[in-house]
Amino acid sequence: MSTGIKKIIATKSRVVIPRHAVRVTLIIPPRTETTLEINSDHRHLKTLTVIINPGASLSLIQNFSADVPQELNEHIVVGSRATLTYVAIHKLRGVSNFRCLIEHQKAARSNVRLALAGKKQARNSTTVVSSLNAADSQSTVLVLAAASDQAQLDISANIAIGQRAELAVADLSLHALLLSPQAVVELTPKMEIKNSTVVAAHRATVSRFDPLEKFYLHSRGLTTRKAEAVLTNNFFSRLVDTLSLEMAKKIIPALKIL
Amino acid sequence: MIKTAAKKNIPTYTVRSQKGLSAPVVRLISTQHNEPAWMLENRLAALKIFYHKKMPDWGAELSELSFKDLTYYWRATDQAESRWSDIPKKIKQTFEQLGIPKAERKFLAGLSAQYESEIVYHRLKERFTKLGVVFCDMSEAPRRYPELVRRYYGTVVGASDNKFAALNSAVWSGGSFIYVPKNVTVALPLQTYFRINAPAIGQFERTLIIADQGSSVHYIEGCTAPTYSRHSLHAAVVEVIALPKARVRYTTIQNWSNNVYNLVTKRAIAHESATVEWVDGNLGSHTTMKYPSVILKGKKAVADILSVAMANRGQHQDTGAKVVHLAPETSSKIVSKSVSLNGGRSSYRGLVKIAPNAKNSKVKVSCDALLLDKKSRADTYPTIRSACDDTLIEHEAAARKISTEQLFYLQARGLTPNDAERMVVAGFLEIFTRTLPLEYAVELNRLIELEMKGSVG
Repeated sequence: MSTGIKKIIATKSRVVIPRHAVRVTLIIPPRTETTLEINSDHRHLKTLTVIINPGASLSLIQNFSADVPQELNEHIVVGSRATLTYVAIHKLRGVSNFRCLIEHQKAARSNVRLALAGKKQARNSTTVVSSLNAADSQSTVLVLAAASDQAQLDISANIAIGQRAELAVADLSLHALLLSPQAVVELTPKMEIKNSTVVAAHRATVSRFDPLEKFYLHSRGLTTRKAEAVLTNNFFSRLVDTLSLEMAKKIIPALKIL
Repeated sequence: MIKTAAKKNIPTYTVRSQKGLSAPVVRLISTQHNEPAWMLENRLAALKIFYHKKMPDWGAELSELSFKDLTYYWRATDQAESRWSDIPKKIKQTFEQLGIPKAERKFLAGLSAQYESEIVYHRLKERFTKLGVVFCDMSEAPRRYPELVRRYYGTVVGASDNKFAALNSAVWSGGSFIYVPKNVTVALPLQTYFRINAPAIGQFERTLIIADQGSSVHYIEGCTAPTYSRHSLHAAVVEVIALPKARVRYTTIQNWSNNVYNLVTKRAIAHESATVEWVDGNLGSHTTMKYPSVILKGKKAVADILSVAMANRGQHQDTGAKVVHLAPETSSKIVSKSVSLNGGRSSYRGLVKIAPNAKNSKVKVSCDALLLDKKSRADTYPTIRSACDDTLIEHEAAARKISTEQLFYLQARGLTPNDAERMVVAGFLEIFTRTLPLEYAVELNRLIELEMKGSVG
């Protein structure tokens, strides 16, 4: 296992980072379209720094549906007119901390979508900070979390819009599903806005299964377990709403495992 | 200018404590109120807690606040007055120069106005007294209603709750004590009027409202103060106890001068099927940290919180709401509206907490922020913690500037840019003004007008 910083410059449409890497810096050259996939093989990863140069585009798929790193810090800089599509699926069991900071330069776009499924004794803290301090930048953050058994999920997301972020657009959604009486969810959707020309909104919900939906599925012959699985799948299906078909195809099988 | 004129009329004091906080100051306050021994013990214990408690490391900037430079007790008149005509001319003049009394004049019969630390005017309508409603100066309450005060005082906001609650518990004077007996509805709002009128003095009123089973009361406090160059502190504590099926509405219109630190702890406990409503309007002050909260302790209890803030130049309005659901079938609604202009900062800070047995509870939180210029700032810091799988919690927030279409339309109808902007802001805050008695609504619109003077261009 290497403990040094691994620096990777993406030159192909698909970039691969070594399995046992701990600290990785990934540079996406200007006007390059790249896909990066991280999965449970990368469970030793602790720090990921990504620099997306102007005009470049990165689709980052993070699928920790088998094994999640205990501690993962990500720092992504989205350059001028660059695009980031970030989808993460975390199946949580034990203690884990996840932090992600995304910085936007002029006219940068980011679409961050996280699905978290906490089971058993999971103790998870997830923090997403989306910082916009340049004109015309756009950020969308969606976090879907389901807590069952004795899981405790603490999810905090912050959209920070600076004074220079003229005409920035930001949207933050946190939705949680509580699936057991012992599960606990804490949501903190924050917004810090220092510019009056922006359009910014956030929303958060915590709920259980809709009893009417569950009743309907029962009446169609589904067992409680099957009905709950269908409803959980439906809850997480929002993750793929705005994704390209190609990306959605990769995400949907992983969502089913949740 | 109203505020400049008011500055000239600084009243003389019959009793005033030395600057700084100490046990002798606390004893002086207790002696002045002729309090029972248990209350003095309570105050001294709170003083110890105050010394040990740390300043909050979150929220607004409080580093300029100096406790040793404040005077913790002063008294402008010797005793509470029972009729408006008996109030000293000097004091009445100050009220008039502030331009507030429209509402108060009309409702004098039910008014209790606090001038500095003491109640100078207090009268309750006879018919309420006959029904057993108690509405008096909190300083008198421990002597006059010892059983009630001892039973409920400090049960909602204890001295160890936070540093400012400890400070208030040690040096409080003035405020209102209200008790509404079982099944009594107080038809007209009970009103009190607080104001600061001397430099670098704190105001530490304590309000305790007990609404007995099936009763209903609406309490209104309006605040305003003249401008002074040195910082003043307003650290009040409000405790509300709504017993089963009671209904309490607490309305505040705050307009402190822009050198006042307004750090208030307001909390209510709602028992079974009780309803507590906080209606909170925050204009003025240098820094406000105020988060009215409700603990929904009984089944089917309801909380309704409406918080409005307007942050002008040099001001930070850190306001919000807290709701704790402890019982099944409880529901709460929080609506927060903020306007930031001329570089002001408004923050919404909220907490929604659902206990494991609060089955079938419902929460709806909505915050809207309006930014009027590029220098201003709006933040939201909500926290939602749910430990119950049978609840529905919704939170939404949005920040925006005034739509150019709205301004264009209003200007096309002949309004000046300033008037058009003011009208849009008044419309944005209409959800708050419509909950107020007419006189207060008129006054609030006038205050908005004053706050927005020169904000365009």
